[in-house]
Formats: sequence, structure tokens, C-alpha cells
Amino acid sequence: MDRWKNFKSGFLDENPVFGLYLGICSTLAITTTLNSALGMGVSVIAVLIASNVIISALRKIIPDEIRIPVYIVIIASLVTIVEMLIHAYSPSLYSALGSFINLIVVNCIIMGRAEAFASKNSIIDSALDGLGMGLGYTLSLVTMSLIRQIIGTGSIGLSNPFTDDVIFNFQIIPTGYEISLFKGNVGAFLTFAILAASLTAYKNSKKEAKKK
Amino acid sequence: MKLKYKFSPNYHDSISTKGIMFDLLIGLLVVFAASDIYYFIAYGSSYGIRAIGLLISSILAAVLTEIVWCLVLKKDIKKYLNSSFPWITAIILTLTVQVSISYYALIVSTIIAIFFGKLVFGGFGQNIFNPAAVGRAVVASSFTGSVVADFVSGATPTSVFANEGWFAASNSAFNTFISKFGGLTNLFLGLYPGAIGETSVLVILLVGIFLVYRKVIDYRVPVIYIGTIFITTLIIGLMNGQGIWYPIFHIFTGGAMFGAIFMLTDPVTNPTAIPGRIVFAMGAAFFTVLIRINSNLPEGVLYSILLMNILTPAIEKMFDSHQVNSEKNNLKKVLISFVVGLIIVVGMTMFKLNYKEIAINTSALFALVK
Amino acid sequence: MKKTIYLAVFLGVMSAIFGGAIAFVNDLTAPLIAQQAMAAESAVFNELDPEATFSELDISEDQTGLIKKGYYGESSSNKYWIYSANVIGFNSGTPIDFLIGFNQDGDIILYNVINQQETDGIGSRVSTDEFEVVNLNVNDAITPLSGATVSSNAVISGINAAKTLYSNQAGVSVDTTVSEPEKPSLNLGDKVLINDDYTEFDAICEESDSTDEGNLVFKCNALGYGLIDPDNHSADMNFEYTKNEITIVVNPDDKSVVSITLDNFGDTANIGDKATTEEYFETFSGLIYDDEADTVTGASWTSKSIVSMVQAALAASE
Repeated sequence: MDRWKNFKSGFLDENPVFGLYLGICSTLAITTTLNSALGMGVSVIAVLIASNVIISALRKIIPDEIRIPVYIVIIASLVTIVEMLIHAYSPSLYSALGSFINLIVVNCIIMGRAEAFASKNSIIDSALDGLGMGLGYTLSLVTMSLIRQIIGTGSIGLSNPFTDDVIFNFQIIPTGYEISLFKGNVGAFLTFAILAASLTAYKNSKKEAKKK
Repeated sequence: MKLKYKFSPNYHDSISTKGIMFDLLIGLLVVFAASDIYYFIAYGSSYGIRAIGLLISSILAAVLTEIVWCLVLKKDIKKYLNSSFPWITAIILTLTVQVSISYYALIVSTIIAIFFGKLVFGGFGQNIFNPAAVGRAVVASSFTGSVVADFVSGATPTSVFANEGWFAASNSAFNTFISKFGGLTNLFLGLYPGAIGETSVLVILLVGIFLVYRKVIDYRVPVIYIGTIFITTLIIGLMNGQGIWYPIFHIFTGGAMFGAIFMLTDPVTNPTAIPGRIVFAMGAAFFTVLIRINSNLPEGVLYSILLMNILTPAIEKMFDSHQVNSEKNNLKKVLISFVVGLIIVVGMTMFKLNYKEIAINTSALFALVK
Repeated sequence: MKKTIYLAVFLGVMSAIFGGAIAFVNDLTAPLIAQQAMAAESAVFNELDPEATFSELDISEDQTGLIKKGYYGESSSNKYWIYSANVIGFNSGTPIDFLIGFNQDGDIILYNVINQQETDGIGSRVSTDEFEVVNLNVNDAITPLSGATVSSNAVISGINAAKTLYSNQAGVSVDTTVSEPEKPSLNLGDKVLINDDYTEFDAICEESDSTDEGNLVFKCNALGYGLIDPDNHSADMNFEYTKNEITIVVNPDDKSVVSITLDNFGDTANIGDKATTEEYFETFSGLIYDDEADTVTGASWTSKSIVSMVQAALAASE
């Protein structure tokens, strides 16, 4: 398969969040701030690449009948390790993400890619696929969190998760004019709907252009 | 009242959508005018002018949102606006907010109401939720603090009563409380602070009668809604030692009348079947009473409208059968719904816990879980 | 059969390998995690007694749900029981998070508010030295701050929960009857002359026929804050104010006030009624016409309304 095309598809056409509607639960809950969105995104990329590589490496010896339990063992172990590392080295990120780190295990993206791609392709291809999908997921999370944070709190900021140093933080909308609706769950659903609709509209217009 | 249907074809009705909407517009403007006159007299011209300013900005925001929508989707603006009536939503929304709200809050809520409440569903006639109720919910959730200090008009009867837990200690305690607002007659006339258009039961009733006469709204929905609130609160009141004034207080305050006449009767968002509408009105009444008495929120009408909007498709399904033959069946379903709803609501109000207590306990719980 | 055994063994081996990986990472990270848990508190503990070592205490006996964590510290000379509590004060959105610590003698050696979002200048005073907690004994009652009773009483209830735990865990008996928070004490402001000009209060006193051990009994009424309306709030007054009415007993021999009792309070609830408490009325005992009287801070109009009636009663008994 064309490696570059596959890598690219994770961003727009097969965007896991807005195109394939996978992993929505954490998307809605995590994207209140840019920091949490990036933290979650990076964790998912790490787990995705690692699980894809391991499963691809073992794909010839994993018996077909028990492949799902084996995938679960691998993914769950990786997520537990990532959770412990986050807890130890970045406590602020740990308290921001809370139990959603553990929910990465059931994030359909990871299991889906393991089953659909990593079990059938070489290690390098699987790693690239994991990176592509993970980056697409992170991109979606970052987009949503930018919208929600700017409209909902008026400011945008980023801080180093390991040391809690603030990298930047500035107020875009003056206080008193932010729409706090977007900080909460209602805003999450509304933003998600708009972004998903925009992606579908874009894909439809591309299809129309191709037809002509 | 009859539970029979109106036989089709209903398309060749004597009045058109445009005619209905025009009468509704007149009715709403009458309510607004009466309210504005009260503001001019009781609070001074700055209040009256501000109310007009809020109304105009809301209408402009609604119309502009739809114009932008038309431009993006390349539709004919004039034709679309004439069949979409955004100003009705804007006026209803303005009438449900307090005069102290900031322009920014009202404009943003109007835009969200029109866009997310109506346009994304396919425009007029396709929406699930009453758009004005959506806008009001946005105000309630995001903009409660967004008020202009100069125009504060005072505590509303519902919020003061809600602080007492929706039950007065005795009849005389209630009398002292209500006399601060001018007594029950004053509640009827609407000469007290509250939302811009919701206070005057008298004006709303008169406009409502006019709209029923002109066949703009179905009389059953407001009658069943108010009636069910009356019966339910009468029972609850008697069980808790409140006098006859208790159900009257419930139907005179909190925008119950306004919601009954102008928001619950929206034909787009309530069921088409007549027994369906009756169940719809009953459900809204039960929710209103339950939210008022059992929950922290001061007002239940808004959320009861939105909740019943969600249940409308289910209600339609319930009465989806051979229209002509199942009159007895429908009557049974309506009665069962009423009795079940009544028992549930009255039962739940018996178990109302002091909400402050709950707040402390749950927070302590979360502190442990952290 | 062979296939099943093979599958089971394969799965078992996989789980063992990855389980081992998890255990390895756990050993790496567990000490760091445990350290963090005590990070915020250990800074405070270090300041308290750098020589003591601290470990966690089991606080499951706590019935109130207000205590989050407990720590036991020991040094060569002292033992400490420290509790971390979460209470809801005036701001129901954010709890007040504080540490309260006792030593082996039952003295409170630590009171540190870690986080609170109470109203600035009112409830936030619970974090200041004005709120006397430290150096009290576990059996002493803690006085709530006047004007910040909700926040202070919330903290006191958290401290009481800690006291209960402390008495169980340290074996020190605590007199629980003292634990009830005291009523807020009187906050007196400026003194005023009783014989000053109070005509605007329009105080009227009628000598009543009932006698009280030979003393004169006067039924008095006067305008208060609401009816005088000095700030012109009549537009937005939703309350109906009435006259303040009191009964004053005067000693006819030395023309001094014996006692005052309240008949009707007609001013603003929660503000003016501080000047109608028994404690305030007791300050008038023994005062004569030329004396100075106390007023209550934040309720000066109602206080002066009372003083105007005392003046009228004392004048009438001349």
C-alpha cells in the first residue's frame, strides 16, 4: 500500500474522531484545555505506535483464535505503563486527564488499527500507520480544545507538563464576554457536531469535484 | 373535550402559516407593549427604552443569522425569511429574559438559538426543540452573571419562594411574603419585577384567548398544562398544609402562563395527534412542578418544555394508529399517563431533601474520591 | 485438545511477559508517586518540625466525610496527628481545604488553609491570624469570626471532625460538649451619647401600667433604618419596614436602665437585628441619661433607634 497515502489518510479522509467517530468519549471530556488535549494526544500516539509495532512483530506467531485477547493484553499493559509514567513524571497532567488515561484501552482507534492493519502489515508500515492515526487524533483534539478554550474561557495557554512552567498564556476574549457554555459538556457536543459536519461537507465537495 | 382528530386533508385549511404567524406576532407585541408600559411607569424611561433596545437587538441578531445562513447556502434571502419567521423566536426569547441582561448575552443566545435550535435541523418546521427555549437555556447556563448592574429590578417571587423550599411555614407567613409583591392580585396583574414579558397573567390570558379565537394555537395544550399544574400542586399543597393560595401561586408565577400560551403551543415541536398534545401538556406540567419543588433550580417551566420536546416523537409513536377507530384506546392511554404521572410527582415531592444538605455531602464525597 | 492447550499456554506466556513489564515499570515509578502524594503537605510538615518523620494514617473511622487524609508524625520529643479536611463554606463551588494538627498534649500546633475561594475580606479571613485556632487546646471552643460565620463555622465543623479522630487515634479524651461553635460575639462600634439629638427617630415612650418590682416599665417605639430611609432605597424596597418596638424597665431611684426586651424588629433582617440581641441590650444595664451607649458595627441606625428610645424612657422617668 502506498505508505504516504496511508499516512495522510489518518488526518482528513479517515480522521478517526470526526470521520470514523472513534474515541469520542475521551474527545468530549478531555478537550477543555489545550494542555490536556496535547497530553492525551501524545499518550495515544505512544500507545498506538507501540501496540502497532508489537502486534505487527508478533503477527506471525499469534494464533488466530485468541488474537483479540492477546491484543487486549498487549494494549492494556502498554496503557498501564503509560499511566504509571504519567503519574510519576507529570502529576498535573495526571490529575487533568484522570480516569481517561485508562480509557485509552477501550479507545476503538487502537484496537481497530491493530485488527485492521497491524496484524496484516510489516512493522514499519504499522508504525507509520499508528503515527498517522495518532497524529490525526491529536490534531482533532487540539482543534476542538482550541475552539472550546478560546470561546469558553477567553484565554489560550500551554504549560510544560513535567515542570508546570507556563510556556505561554494570553487572553483573547476579554473576561465577561466568554461563553461558558463551551467549557461544559453542551459546548463539547456542539463543537464536535460543527467540526464533524464541516469534515463531511468538505469530503462531499471533494467527491462532487471528482465527479465533474 | 373531544379526543377525535381533525380529518384530513388539513392542507386546505382556511388559515395559512403566514396568517397564523402574523397573528402570533401581534399577540407577542401586545404582551411586550403592556410590559414596556409597566417598566416606563414603575421604573422610569431608561428601563422602558432598554427593553425596546433588547428587543430590537435580538430581532436583528436573529434575522442576520438567517441571512448569513442563506448566503452560505445560496438561497433566496427574501423567500427564506418570509417562510422562516426568525423574529418570532427573537421576541419570545426577549420576553423571557430579565431587563437587566447584557446586550452581548442576549445577542449570543439568540444566535445560538436560531443556529443550533432551528437552522441546523433544516429550518422552520424541522426543529426538534423550541428555539426560544434553547436560547433561554443558554442564558440560564452561561449568562446568569452577565447582567448590567444599573437595571437590577429586584428579586422575583419564584426565587424568593424557592429559597424557602417552595413551602410556606404557615398561611400568615405566606401572606407577609406575598404582600411584599403586592398580593396575589398583583401577581395576576403583573406589576412586579421579573422577566420582561412573563409577569402579567392578565395580559397573557387576554392575548391567549385572542389567539385561540383566531385558531392560531390549540386551546387544549395551555388548558391541560395549567390545569394539571393546578391539580398537582393542590394535592401537594394540601399534603403539606398549604392553603388554596398555593396552586394559584404556582400558576401565576414563574412564566407558567407565558410558557403555556406561547411556547408549549408551538405546533412544530409538539405532537400532531390531539391525545398526544394532551399527554405532552400533562408531562410538561409534571416536570414543571417536580423541577420547581425538588431541585435546586428556581424555575421549572423552561426545562420542562425542552424535556417534553425530546419526548414528542415517542408520544407520536404512542398514538400512531388508525386515527378514527381508537378513540377509546387513546382515552385509556391519556388517563393512565395522567394517573401514573401524578403519583410519581406527588410521591417524589414527599422525599425532598434539604438541598443544602445534599450539596455538602456530595462535595465531601468528591473530595474523598479525588 | 492439543490446540486448546497450546492456545491457553500462549495466552498465559503473553500475560506473564507483559505482566512482568508492568511490574518493572511499577517499581520504577511507585516511589515517585508516593512522594508526590505528600509533596504539598511535606512542605508544611518540614516547617513544623524538620526532625519528625511522617507517615499516613488510616482515617476510615471518620463518619463526617470531611476528613480527606491523616498523617502521624514522630520526632524524638514530639508526636503529631495531622488531618487534612475539606469543608464547604460560603462558596459552595470550591471547598475550603485546610490542615489541622494536634500534638500529644492536645494542643493545636498547626492550622494551615491550603485552598479557599471564599469572599475576599469576609470569608477569606479564615486563612488569616484573625481566626484564632493555633495554640488552643483540643478542649477549647473555637470562636467563629463575626461577619464570616458561615465560613468559620464550616472550618470549625471540620476541626471538630478532626478532634473526634484525634481523640480516637491518640487516646486523648476530648470534651465533646465544648465542641459546639459559639454564637458570634458582639461587635461593638463607636459609642454615642444617650442625650444626643435623635429627633429623626421619633421615639415615643408610654409608661405602661405593669410594674416590675417597683421599677417603671415603658413601652417604646421608634423609626428605624427602613422607615427613615436615609439612602433613598424606596424604589427597590421589596420589604415592608415597621417601627422598632422595645420594652424598657427603668429604676426610678437612680434613673438607670434595668433591662430592655424586644417587642418588634422592623428593620432589615440579618443586618439591623444584630442591634437587638440580648448581649447588646445588656450593655445598657445601669446607664443613665448622661452616659454613653454602645452601638453595633454594621447596624448603627438600628442601634441609634434603640438609643433614642432609651433616651425617651430615661427622660420620661425624670
